[in-house]
Amino acid sequence: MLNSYVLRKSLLTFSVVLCCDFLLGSRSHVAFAAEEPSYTPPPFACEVRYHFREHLRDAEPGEKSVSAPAFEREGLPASRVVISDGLATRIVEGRVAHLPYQFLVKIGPKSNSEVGTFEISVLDGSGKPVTGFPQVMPNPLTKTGDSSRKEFELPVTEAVRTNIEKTLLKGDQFLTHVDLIVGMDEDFISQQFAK
Amino acid sequence: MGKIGTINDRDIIEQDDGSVTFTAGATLDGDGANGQFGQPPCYAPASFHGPTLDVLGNAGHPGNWYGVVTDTGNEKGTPIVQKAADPYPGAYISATSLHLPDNDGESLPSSSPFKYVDSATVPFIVVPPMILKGVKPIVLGCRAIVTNSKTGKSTEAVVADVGPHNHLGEISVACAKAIGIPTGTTYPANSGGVSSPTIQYQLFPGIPAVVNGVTYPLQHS
Repeated sequence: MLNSYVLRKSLLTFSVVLCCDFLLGSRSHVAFAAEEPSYTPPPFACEVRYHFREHLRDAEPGEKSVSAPAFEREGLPASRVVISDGLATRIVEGRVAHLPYQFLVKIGPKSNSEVGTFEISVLDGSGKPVTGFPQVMPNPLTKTGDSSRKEFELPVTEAVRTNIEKTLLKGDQFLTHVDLIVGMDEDFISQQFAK
Repeated sequence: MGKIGTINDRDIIEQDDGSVTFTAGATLDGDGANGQFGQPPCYAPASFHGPTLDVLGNAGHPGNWYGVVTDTGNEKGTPIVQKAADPYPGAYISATSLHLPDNDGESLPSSSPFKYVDSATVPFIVVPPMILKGVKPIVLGCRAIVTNSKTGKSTEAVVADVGPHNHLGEISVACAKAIGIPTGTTYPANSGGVSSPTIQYQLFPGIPAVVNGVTYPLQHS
């Protein structure tokens, strides 16, 4: 008799625990599903390129006297996902050593346009937008093909130019222009930068 | 086998067979593209409505046109604009270090768009002065093989331009496309390329390049 009572009570307790677990579990799954964004923009990366050429001192008359163009590069931090109201935006933000600018690049969720929104903001040292920025457009980037990268030319003052030539380039080299490259292809994202 | 030198921790080796090898990334050089074969030129005036391979900043600005051919032959001159009879009217003329002759083997004037190697259609590579000076046979115009170890794609190329002394690994836009290296959306030469050392270069100094059926001249530098 006692054994039967204990057994019934144990079964009842076990059933209640199972039901609670099921209900709570289901609710937690529902809650999780509600927070999971339906679309997360793919990873992308950003780097600043300091393009330059070099005077070829050994060139004779009639020969090309400047080198082919090349560039030095500095990377911005890796992209990260920010979720707000259940929508995912991927952003890159930060600075580089040789420019007095603060960068913020966002690829937002898809809405009416299938590609999502691309936003780029560049602020100077006083927090004012740099000439030509911000820019907002449909996301121009894809993970493969010829549309995996896009450049944004960055204006530089004479003082910044002089500093770049003095601290980053070598004797006969001169800066031609500076730009921010945003890229989504695997080659670009996996690039390593000198420490 | 001997080491010619090292640039950015990458050794440049002269092999026993006389070839020169190194492994590096690849930046892109649009110089020499003047629409010779119908593809976009490297540079054009800001008012030009059409694609170009590179941004105008790499060509220069009034008073200092370092990247295009000018009427005075130096940077202080005015850029020469291609005329109606030229291959890409309205575009500037950009130069490579390697100069091509006319069909009779005579040298072309500096103002001829055909004097230079077309980055848009000809796979070529760019080398630093260290390589030009590091071997006895002539390097400019010689045969090269470029291989992308990531894609497995390889192409014949010609050594056609000279780069900065401390930069190793640079190729034409056509070469990038041939071996599967990404190019830019708006300006292919400006935002394309790879920085990881996955590109293998082999040069054959003294042996004229033959690319797409064209034999290139060897040129002292």
